[in-house]
Amino acid sequence: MKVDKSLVGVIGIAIVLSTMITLFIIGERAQEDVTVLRNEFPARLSTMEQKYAFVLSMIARKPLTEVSVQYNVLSRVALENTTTESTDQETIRANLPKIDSLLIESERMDITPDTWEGRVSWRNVTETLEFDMFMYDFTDMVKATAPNFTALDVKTTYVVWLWDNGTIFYYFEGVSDFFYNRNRTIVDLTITHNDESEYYRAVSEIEVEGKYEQIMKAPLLGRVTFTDVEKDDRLFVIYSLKGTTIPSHSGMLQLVRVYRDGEMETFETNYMS
Amino acid sequence: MLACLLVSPILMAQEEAKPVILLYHGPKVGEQDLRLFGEAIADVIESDSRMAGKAEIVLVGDQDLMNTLLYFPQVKCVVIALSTWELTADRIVPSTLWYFNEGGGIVGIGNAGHGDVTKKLNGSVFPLFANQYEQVAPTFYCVNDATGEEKKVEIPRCDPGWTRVLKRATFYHKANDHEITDGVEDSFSMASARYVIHKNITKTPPEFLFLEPEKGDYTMVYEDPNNEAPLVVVYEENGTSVTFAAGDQISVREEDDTYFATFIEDPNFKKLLQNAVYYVWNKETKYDDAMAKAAEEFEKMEQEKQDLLDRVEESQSQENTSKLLRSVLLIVVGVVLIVVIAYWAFVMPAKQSGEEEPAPAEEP
Repeated sequence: MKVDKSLVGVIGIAIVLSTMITLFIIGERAQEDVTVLRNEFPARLSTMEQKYAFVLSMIARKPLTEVSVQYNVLSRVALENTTTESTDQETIRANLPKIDSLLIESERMDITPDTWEGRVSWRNVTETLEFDMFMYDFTDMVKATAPNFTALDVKTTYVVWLWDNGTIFYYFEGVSDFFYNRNRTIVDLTITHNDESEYYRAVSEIEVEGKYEQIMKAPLLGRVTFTDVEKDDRLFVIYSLKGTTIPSHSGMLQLVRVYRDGEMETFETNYMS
Repeated sequence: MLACLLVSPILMAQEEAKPVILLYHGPKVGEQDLRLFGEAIADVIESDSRMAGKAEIVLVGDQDLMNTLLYFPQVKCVVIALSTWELTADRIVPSTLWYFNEGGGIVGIGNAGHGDVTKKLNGSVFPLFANQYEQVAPTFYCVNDATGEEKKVEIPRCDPGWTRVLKRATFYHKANDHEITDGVEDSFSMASARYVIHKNITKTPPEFLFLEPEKGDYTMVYEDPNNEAPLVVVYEENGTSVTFAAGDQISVREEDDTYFATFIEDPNFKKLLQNAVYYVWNKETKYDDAMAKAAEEFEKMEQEKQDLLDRVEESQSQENTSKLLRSVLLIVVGVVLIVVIAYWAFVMPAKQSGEEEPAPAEEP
């Protein structure tokens, strides 16, 4: 059987062209540079004889100089006056004098705090509600002068959830760290970059010398940095809390911010009742 | 040049920003909006011509906010007025202690000197070691019916034309000369009828016991002449503090006996408070160090961000170059392959058919 060469040629050229197009598509940037694969946290935190685990698992979609994760933990604070007229920054400042004072004092030093605004979903028993969320983080102002470990206990982060009409639904205040009072509350913490892990444990939990570092030596202010990240590298931050040490609260909010090469990639808000 | 550009905004802000006096007055408790008390203290400080235009007074009514602001570098002086409307000041203890040990200047009023309220600040920052309150015994006055003139009397009897009045007041007697007594009478009385005091509670009834810190310079400036208990104390250790034993029991309601204005507006107390703030303002050593350290830290943070951006830019540029090379290589290989296939599939057969085609037959 004789095959027509021109037919083979057309097919061959088509294969070459499609291969080229495919390779160009594969070489293009993924939508996200770092994808959060798992973000697990306990839905309920109470002072009970049990451990609560937090898991953050990510994958890099391209080579990156640095991927960093910033943790904050906040507690809900009841406010006397929760009615505002709108959701603009000026109104929020006027209604939350604490945030206003800190913004004024930061501006006085020409320092801009970390801020974020966006939408957040909150699910109760029957429905899922959406709010406007504003976050203000003044940690850098405190970090500039306060001793390292002292800054862990200073309230520097504030979050407000607003209904569309500007009424405050929830208001939170907290610290920049994995959790409050890490020396007492965190049992173990593991930071993993592919196969390399750093293990931290509460002093009372360290049985074998050398394998674990003390929890106070874990990245300060809940800022974990992974450097020289290659494509498809897997990154993990896993830690657990001792239930009996958790302070009483009426709602806690964990903020997890993922930055790639200094720019924010993902902002996770984990509400725990 | 780049470094100068990076540094200048912070240094400019540092030069332009006024130092801050952080004034803690306590929260709003029911009708008692203690901000009014804070504003009255701020008015006293602002009315001192020596402080005119020098400082920004920031009023704070929340312990957590105070705790955070105390770490801000621009704080040059702190006034902590604690009243019985708050049972503890736990949340400002670590930051206040840190601030004092960094060389800060603090003025404490009322319960600031009470150990149950300020815990380990009592003795280390506010050296009154108070564990009790001293309720001053009532004193008789005769008030002139016509002129309103008032005079203290030892026995409860007044001349005709004068009316007897019973009042409580704390008597201040100068114990030692000090800069903060300039312009203040050596002996005066003040409407505040209660102050914090250290008493030996093992005695019955408990009696005043003098205590002073083991280290640092302690100067009792005013005392109660009745029991020699300290009423105003200056303390210099790592930092500088002036502590007033009076002012713990206050009300913001004018009709109450404990209305704060009755002692805040007393000319002697007012002058003493102004002198105290002015004194710690000049003695503190924390501000310049903190501003320099903060500027350094902020520059370092900026530098770290810039370094990261530079590294990212460099790696992106390398990545772009390698991507370009990959694309060029891909295109070249693709084009070459297409040319080869086209040559093999179309050109070669055409040539071959051209060569094989028989020449037309010659005509006979």
